[in-house]
Amino acid sequence: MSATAQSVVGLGSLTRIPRRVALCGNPNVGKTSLFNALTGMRQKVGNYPGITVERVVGRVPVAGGALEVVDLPGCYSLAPRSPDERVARDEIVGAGPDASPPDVVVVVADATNLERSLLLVTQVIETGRRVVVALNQFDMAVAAGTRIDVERLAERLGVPVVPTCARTRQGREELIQAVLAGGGAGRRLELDLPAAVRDAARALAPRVADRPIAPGTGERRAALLLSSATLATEALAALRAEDTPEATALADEIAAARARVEASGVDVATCSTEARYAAIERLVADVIVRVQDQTPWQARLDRVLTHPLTGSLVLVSVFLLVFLAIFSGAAPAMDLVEGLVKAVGSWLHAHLGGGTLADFVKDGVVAGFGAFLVFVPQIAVLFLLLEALEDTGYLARAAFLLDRLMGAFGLPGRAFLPLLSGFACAIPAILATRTIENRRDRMLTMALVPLMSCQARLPVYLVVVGAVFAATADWVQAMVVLAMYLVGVVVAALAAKVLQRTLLSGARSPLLLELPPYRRPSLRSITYNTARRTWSFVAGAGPVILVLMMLLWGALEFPRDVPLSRDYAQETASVERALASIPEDDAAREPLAVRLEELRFEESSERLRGSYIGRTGRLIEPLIEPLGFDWKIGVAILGSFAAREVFVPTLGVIYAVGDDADEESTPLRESMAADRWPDGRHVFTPLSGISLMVFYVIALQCMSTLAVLRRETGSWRWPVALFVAYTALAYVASLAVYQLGSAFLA
Amino acid sequence: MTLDQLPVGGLALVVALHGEPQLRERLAELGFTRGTRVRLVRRAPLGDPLHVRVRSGAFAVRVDEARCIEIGALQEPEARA
Repeated sequence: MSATAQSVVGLGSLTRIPRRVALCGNPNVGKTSLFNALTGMRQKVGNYPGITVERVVGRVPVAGGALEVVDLPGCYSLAPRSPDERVARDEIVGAGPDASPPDVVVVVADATNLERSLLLVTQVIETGRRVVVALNQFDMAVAAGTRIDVERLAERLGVPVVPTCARTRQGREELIQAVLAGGGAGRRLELDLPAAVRDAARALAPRVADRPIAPGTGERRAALLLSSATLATEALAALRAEDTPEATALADEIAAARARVEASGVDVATCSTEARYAAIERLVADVIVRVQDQTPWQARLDRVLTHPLTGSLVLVSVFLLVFLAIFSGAAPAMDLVEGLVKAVGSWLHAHLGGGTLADFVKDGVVAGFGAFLVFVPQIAVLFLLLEALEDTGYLARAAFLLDRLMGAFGLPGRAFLPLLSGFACAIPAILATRTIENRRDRMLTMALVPLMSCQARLPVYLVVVGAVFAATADWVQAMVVLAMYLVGVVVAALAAKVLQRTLLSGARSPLLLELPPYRRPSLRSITYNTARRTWSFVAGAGPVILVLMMLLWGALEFPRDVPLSRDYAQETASVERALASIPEDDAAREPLAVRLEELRFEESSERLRGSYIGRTGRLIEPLIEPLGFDWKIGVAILGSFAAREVFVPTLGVIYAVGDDADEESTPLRESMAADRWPDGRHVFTPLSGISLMVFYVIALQCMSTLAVLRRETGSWRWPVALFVAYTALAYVASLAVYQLGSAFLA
Repeated sequence: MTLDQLPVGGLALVVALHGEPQLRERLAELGFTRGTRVRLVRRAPLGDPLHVRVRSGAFAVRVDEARCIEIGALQEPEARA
């Protein structure tokens, strides 16, 4: 049902078959769903150099080859106000990574909100690109009672207009055909600009004619520079950066012209947008037959979902569900991954015939790989839920409800879900900050996520509380653990205040959050997006984590020739011989089997003590003694920098109760509680226990988190800064707890 | 009068935009141009932000930004935002 205005379009300026297509549109118009409907799974994710905006390219097979489609970030206009919007604009004008403009730009318009969509459509037409308009959510507009004369719209715009519905893939073929036919050159909208702007633009036009510092050509480009705050700021900055007398003179000229126009009483920030909307209103009045503002059920749903009582109830339930899904819903899949990794490791170990290489493959490579592979189910589940919540329009309502509350932290409402997810695991939580558009808001949220006590901290709290508060009631122990979660939140609030005064100064970005109509999500699109994002995480953060884990393995396992206090090999062999001489069901086997295990545990304990990491632990003991930690705790802390999950098993090895000890292990708790300093004091006291837990609350110990931070921020700067800052803060906090506590108790 | 002072359910016309040039430009792009009808649908439970309808779309706008949108009385009482 494509309507092409042949009289206007023609194929005159088209010299070859289109190959490269860019897909752009306002946020929330279903652009990515349409992209998924077009390309299916034939997608590749890259990154724009220097910034953290993803570049997603898909392929559509067509007769005689394939169309390459790039899915541009959503934007409201071609006057960019964020890195995402700049990317979209640059690609359209040919300043993107391909260094040439796309053959055709498909602008995805929202049939339920035609006026605002046409703002972007008419701007893209003015860049001189060949354009096709996909009139998306056409079914929703029809259901809402809107009648759009598609043929007439195509005629007025001078480009093909194809009604589409991404969810049902309706209009897909017509859209591809319209693109292959080369789209249309379009008609320029007649803008009724104020006389002052027109006159000044006419004078300025020759000066900017051969300088593409703003979209459009000639007089239109000059007019944009005189009537858009964003484009003028950008152009002036570019000219001044050029630092040539000619460019500086031009910059001064533009600034002076803007000042003159402004002095005549024209708002140079908004007048072209106003003129454009005025023209669009005339155009829309001509093509829309009947319009209904909003379907009644949408308004009713909004009333329930944003109501102080019912809205809050739904919000709590939805977020609780998301949290539980990450916290425990993904657990079976995670166990499966863990089991698979162990099985593969053991299989390889056996086939490599033991020895150092086999150990390296099993415990270094495979286990290291498994250490981040285990997060994949959690991440996939979170992405799936986020996509669904975003697609239905609910996430925007949640942000609306929570905006004021999060304002206390200097954060937008959208920061709530990532921070909540942080209590399960920082890695999916940091990825969840992608729903925050503003960079400063997103950075701040990412910086605070690691302070939420993730599920890997819980075993640490439990084993320590179990060891040092063994005599107190269960509810006291529970309160101590709960207090640790609160410490994290309080420190996050303080960190937010500090960061806002220093690295991330400035107020929250203005909230101009669109509350899109509720709609049924496209299952296909959600699945594709989840798969794409999950894979991009594995490929992006995986290698870094793998290398770090292999290094840690080396520090734990080497040197191999640790001086041992006894000849374990000989003792083990003699016990084994004794065992072999006793019949299978004899009770006398029992003590020997126990003895064998003890020997194994004691040997690994001694080996760990002699390893590089054990030596480092003893080396740093003077440094951590003021916090109440001995070298054994030091080793467990060092090991925890790989992942906090390592803490309990490491203590298990050190205390020679085996590396399969968990936080419920009674032998481990008893060994910890019995351990003493050389001078006879207990190592684990309530005070040193609290000091240790506070350290774990604050320190950024998780390599995977650091690797994800690097990936999401685009450089090592943020992860390194946060690592140093939080580890130093953890040290100071634990020092304060232990020293002040000791002074108080004495 | 500015948008934040409009009673819940109230309709008005945009009269002028104030604040930083880039904010004014974005507000205009989202549809808050002079002469456009706006409706304050509701306030968030804590009073901020505001749920505002403009040009058959809806936005959450904080009170701080709503203060930059100057409004005036509607000419035709039956008009819809």
